[in-house]
Amino acid sequence: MMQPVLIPLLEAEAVCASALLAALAGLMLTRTRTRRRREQAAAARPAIREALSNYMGGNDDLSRLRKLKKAQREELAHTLVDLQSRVGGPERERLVHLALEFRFVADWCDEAESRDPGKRRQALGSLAAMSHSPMVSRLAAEIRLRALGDPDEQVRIQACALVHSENRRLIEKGFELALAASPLVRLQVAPQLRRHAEMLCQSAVPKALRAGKASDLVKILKLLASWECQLPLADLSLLAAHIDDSVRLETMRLLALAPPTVANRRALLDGLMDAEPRVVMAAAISAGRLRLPAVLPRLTSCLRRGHEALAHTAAMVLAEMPPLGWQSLEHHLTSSDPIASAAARKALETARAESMDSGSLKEVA
Amino acid sequence: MIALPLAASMILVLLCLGIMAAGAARLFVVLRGVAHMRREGSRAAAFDRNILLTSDLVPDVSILAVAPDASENSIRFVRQLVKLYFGRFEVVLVLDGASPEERAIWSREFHLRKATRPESGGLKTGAVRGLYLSAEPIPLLVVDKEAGGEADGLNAGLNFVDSPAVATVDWDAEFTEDALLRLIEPMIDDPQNTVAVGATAPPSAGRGLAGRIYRLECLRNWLGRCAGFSSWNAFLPAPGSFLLFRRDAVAEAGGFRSSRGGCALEMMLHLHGLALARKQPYTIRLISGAIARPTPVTTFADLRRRMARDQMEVARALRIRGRMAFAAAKVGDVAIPGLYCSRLILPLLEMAFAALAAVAAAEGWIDLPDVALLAAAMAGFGILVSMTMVLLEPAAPGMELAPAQLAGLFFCTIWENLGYRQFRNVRLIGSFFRGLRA
Repeated sequence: MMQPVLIPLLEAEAVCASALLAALAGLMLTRTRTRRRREQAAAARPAIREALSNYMGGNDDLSRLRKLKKAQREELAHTLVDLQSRVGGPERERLVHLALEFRFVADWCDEAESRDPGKRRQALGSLAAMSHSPMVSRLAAEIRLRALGDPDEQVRIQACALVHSENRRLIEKGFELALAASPLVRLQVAPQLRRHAEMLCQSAVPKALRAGKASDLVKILKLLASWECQLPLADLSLLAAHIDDSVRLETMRLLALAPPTVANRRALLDGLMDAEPRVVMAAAISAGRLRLPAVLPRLTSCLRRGHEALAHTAAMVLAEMPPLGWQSLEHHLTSSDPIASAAARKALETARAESMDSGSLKEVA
Repeated sequence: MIALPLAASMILVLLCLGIMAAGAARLFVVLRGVAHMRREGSRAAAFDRNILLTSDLVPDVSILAVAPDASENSIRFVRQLVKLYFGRFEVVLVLDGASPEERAIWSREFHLRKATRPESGGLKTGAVRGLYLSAEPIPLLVVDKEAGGEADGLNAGLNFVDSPAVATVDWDAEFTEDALLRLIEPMIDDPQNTVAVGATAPPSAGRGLAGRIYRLECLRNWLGRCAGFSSWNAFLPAPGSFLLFRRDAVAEAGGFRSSRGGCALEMMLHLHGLALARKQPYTIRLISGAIARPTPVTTFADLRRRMARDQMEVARALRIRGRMAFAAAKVGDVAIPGLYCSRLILPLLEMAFAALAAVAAAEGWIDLPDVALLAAAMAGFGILVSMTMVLLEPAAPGMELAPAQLAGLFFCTIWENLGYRQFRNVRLIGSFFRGLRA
């Protein structure tokens, strides 16, 4: 009774199964080919490395490399990029020369304009790796600027990696991009921008710090703090007095990296009297890093504010500032305030144990 | 009145249509899942992750683990956890009702020393008997407590951590050393909206029929429950997952729910529910690639155990969060009905079909060839769906399967649908109701 319906259905299923079998065969074939290509590339790698090493050593005969280029162009380009990041001096320059001679750089410049984001990423990555060369840098200058506005985030990251150069315009553009990018991108770009910290602090950073929105300011301040290097920012007092807690908090963190000018020291002292405990804790830690004797009275007062975490932080900072810091802590050992006395005791115990450890280490030495 | 043979035929045809419709729906979800994984894969940034090791912008992570026993496997698992490649993290190992002998084994193995730490969380748990830190240079905190179950153990661990993110890993999972580095990326990228991140993948190609069948089951979970639902921002974890949660979100949820074993699925449903109730944008992301996956199985006994465990976890989660169905955006419209359908309704329909077909054939209500053709059409459709899924797997990023393994899995779908599936349905239904009662 059901056969007139079921038999065509089964036939349709059989057709689908045949199509799936064909797809399986196609997939297996593709996989096998890809695997074989990878194996061939892996097998050619030692020969490529050897030929490149010979070339770096001064052998100008390119016949072997030309043969390898014909057979394994992609692998040769990849190995060349990889190798040039591990060497320096004239060897590196020879590799750049080879990349230009074999038109790898020209191809990367073309691929950087491709519609396929994957190709653009790879091309920009290769160009970035070679951007130490003035020649490559000049060739890729315009591409870089365009790539900084690429819709693909990864391409923008690669473009930022080109901030090796001393081109002020490019570096400042990279900084602006980092501020506008997602936190993950900012995190990746930060180390590259760090080496230009001094230059950026001349105009780009002060300009950015004049931004009105608190969330933007927090972003900038976090980026600056992540550089962990001395920043020539002589006056952060306006930011230290900002209405937003997060801005004040990040400013306090940044003060440890700024020069101890009169304005910055005053900002730090004000921070130790802030109403927000998190800001005070950040200020205390920065004060500890700067080892400013002037902050001792206010640090000591932090022990008595009835806030456990704040008292603990202040005590730890005081413990790092002997002998005056230790004396303040000892005064508080017998304090009627249980939070202050407990924090002082714990900090002193830790500090004394550490000093004994380092003393015994010195004796051993 | 409709004659019995006609009624039986109609019911059989309807059952068959229902089962095929469910298969087609599953295929649709899987296709969406593959497309989603490809999108995620192309979005994933390739960069030097060493930057994440030192940056202050990366949050600290605590990995919570409740030790099931003090066996060699468990010790090896904890050793793997403490060796993870990450900047600031610690492993909080909870010994839930461990005997003095078990405690001694852990203590000997990791050179544990008594420690103190203030309890920062306020979750109610079984009494904590003691805290220990390892004397080795490894980030390990051990919480020894009275027995209370896995969720209770996780909550006890949660009470002693103050890191912004907490992670849990399935004890049957294997994971890469950089798993945490990959999982943390979405949390850095969108700290406000990312509530949780998960990573899972099918196990490495197992040997034998049991291994292949388990891989097919995991493939179905991965492409459907994880990737497919993830395309609607309704990600639910599957066995072998490595999960990272925002600690404040877990605390807001009141910690893990007390139940015996497996509480990640329930927690994920709860987090979806809470985030939706707040009516604020949120994401729970799935990381593409084989970062974490279940260990392969080699025997049918192991396969049955793993399947039963997962099924019971699903049942328990649905018992607690089932009321979210059709009342919680796509989680309620797609994920929860999807779970009900794949884990309870479909097995019931298939069993009903088999039983009715047998009775109808025996009683002579329907011709035997008709019954056979109907059963063949249904099984054939199931095989086609499974085969398509196997062929779609390589389309997902990071999945490398040798051609021979691919073919092995492809043809295994035939055995899976002709024999194994029927036994599996009986067990699934049994485990589901056991899970509801637990």
